[in-house]
Amino acid sequence: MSAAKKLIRFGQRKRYLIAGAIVLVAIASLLPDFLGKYEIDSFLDYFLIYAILAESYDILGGFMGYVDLGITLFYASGAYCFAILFYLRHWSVPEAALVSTAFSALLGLAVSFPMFRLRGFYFAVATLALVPLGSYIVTNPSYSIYTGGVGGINGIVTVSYQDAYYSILGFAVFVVALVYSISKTKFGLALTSIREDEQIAESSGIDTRLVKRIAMTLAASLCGFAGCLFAWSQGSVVPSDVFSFKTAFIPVTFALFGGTGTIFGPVIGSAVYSTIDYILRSTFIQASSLAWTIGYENAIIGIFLIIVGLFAPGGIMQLRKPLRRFFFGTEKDQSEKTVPKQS
Amino acid sequence: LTVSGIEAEILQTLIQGLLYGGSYALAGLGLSMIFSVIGVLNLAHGDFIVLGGFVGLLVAETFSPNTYGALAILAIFLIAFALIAALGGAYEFALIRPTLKRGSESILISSILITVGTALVIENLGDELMPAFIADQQRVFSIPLNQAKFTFLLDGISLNGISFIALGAVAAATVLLYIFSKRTYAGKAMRAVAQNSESARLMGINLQKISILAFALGSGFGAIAGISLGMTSALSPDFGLPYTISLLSVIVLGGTKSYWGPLVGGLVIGVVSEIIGSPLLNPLTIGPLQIQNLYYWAPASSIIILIVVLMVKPSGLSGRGASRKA
Repeated sequence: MSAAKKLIRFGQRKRYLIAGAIVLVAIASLLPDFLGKYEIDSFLDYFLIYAILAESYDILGGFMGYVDLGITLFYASGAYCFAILFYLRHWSVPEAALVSTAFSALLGLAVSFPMFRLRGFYFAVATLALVPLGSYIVTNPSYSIYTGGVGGINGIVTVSYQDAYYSILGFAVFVVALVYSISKTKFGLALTSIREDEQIAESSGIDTRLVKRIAMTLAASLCGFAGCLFAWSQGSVVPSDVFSFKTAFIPVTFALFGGTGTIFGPVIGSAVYSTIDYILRSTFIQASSLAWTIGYENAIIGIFLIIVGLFAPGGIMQLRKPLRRFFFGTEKDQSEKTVPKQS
Repeated sequence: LTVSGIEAEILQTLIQGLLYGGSYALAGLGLSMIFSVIGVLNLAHGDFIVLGGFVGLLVAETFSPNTYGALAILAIFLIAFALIAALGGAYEFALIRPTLKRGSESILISSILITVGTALVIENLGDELMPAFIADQQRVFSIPLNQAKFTFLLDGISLNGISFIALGAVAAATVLLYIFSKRTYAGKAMRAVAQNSESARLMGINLQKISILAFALGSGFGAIAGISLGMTSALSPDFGLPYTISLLSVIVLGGTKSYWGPLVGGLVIGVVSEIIGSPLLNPLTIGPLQIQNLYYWAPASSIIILIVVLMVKPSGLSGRGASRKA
């Protein structure tokens, strides 16, 4: 069967999915005509970047079962590298982006050597520990002539907010498509088999070390490019923001909230969560009787995390089955597995 | 006893390092106790430490140790221990236990969400509510003890007596924990559950009671460590997660299976980070290489130790580390 026929068959089987995706992307690309610069810059850009981070986390945490809490290290290093090269050294955008993404990917590869000696909780918190380590390095006063120290790097944004938004949107669509296609390949199968039972995966001939390294490097380079987009669109990189624990927990939280090991879970989680966060910070709330919530955003998010952890560890995507039963009256289980059986 | 110059500095650095190390060791023992018995790494442990220090501050302001002396200091430790232990027990009962019936991967994810959520809530509430209790706008506090009353001068160096009180409290708590885990029924039951919970249950040990007890004691000893840290240096609500990360280095270095592992790990990390942070090693000269401003690396030292241990000996110092445990 030729590739074109495969593609057509795929289109026929997944026509609802493809139609939905096209409609969503169309709506997303029309949004800058209706929303102002502020909404784009402070809400949509963040939502998309966090969705990219959550999606890259999903490769490691969802498909492979290694909960990497420190994935924002690669995002922050990409952002920093780009800001140094672009704003301080005045490189061109493609060169700076390429070098920063490569730097993040190499960092991911380097980090994978000590980190994959661990599993479970230890892996989770050891990777998290890399985030403050990165922050100590960039805020070290000895290097502040290169890194800007505690104040970070403040440049002048050279790109219009629409262009930045479309670039981020394009990359987000690319990442979702990439994760989707990964889940359909042998590599994706290898990832899920590592999640289910690493020893059996190894004894059935999967080079688990290699697969884990590739997954980490891939996630790191995606996060690194997201960091470049962030630095390019926002113009400033501050260590207390990109290297903070709050940022570090964002991808894992969004992915878990939406549902890990699924393609759209991280995006949906990111959308719902960003919207709640945006509403909590909006002027509408601040003028209303809910004004006491100002300053307690982190606590509200924390309570939210506790509730998700207690009652819905599978995330929003857990609700697919009951919803499908409600709307269609039948139970189709085919989308339950993230990677369907294939020959 | 006559000490002067560089020796005095070394002595002071070592004592300070022992103090920090002792606090880390005690808090690390608490964390590893919770982890080995329940199988959940409490990422809010660092926040319980800071909370313990804060309770200590409130008690100190009520009883004023500068007038009542030793009895008030004892009260600070006991009240904070009791309150944080009760909080830890209630926390286990309300939030951790409901998730334990699920599969191991689900436990991992749920407990990360729940403990991180708790950490965020405690830190945010601390940040916002702190100005109601203390005047300092930086939200940094320490437990006020009259420095002049406790300071005594050794020939050449001034040693802070408060450091010795804190060190003594940490040492006493560590010894008590040892006696508890080796001599009492509950302590032995706890170690049995840590080794094999299923067999322990079949031997008639009440797992639920033991879990609550382990969580309560672990948090309570964390509170004592927090008070010692609060007496000798400053605490802030934002220190919670960084403390948790340092404690992770402690238990990876020492391993969670033995009593001595976290103890040695804590002392090593405390002394090493204090030595790196001191001006003694500045500038450091290794052959032709000269390193300037080494003390900027002090906060990162525990993380660097963590990564080096993982590279060199992932099973930890005691050889029975938990790196292979899921």
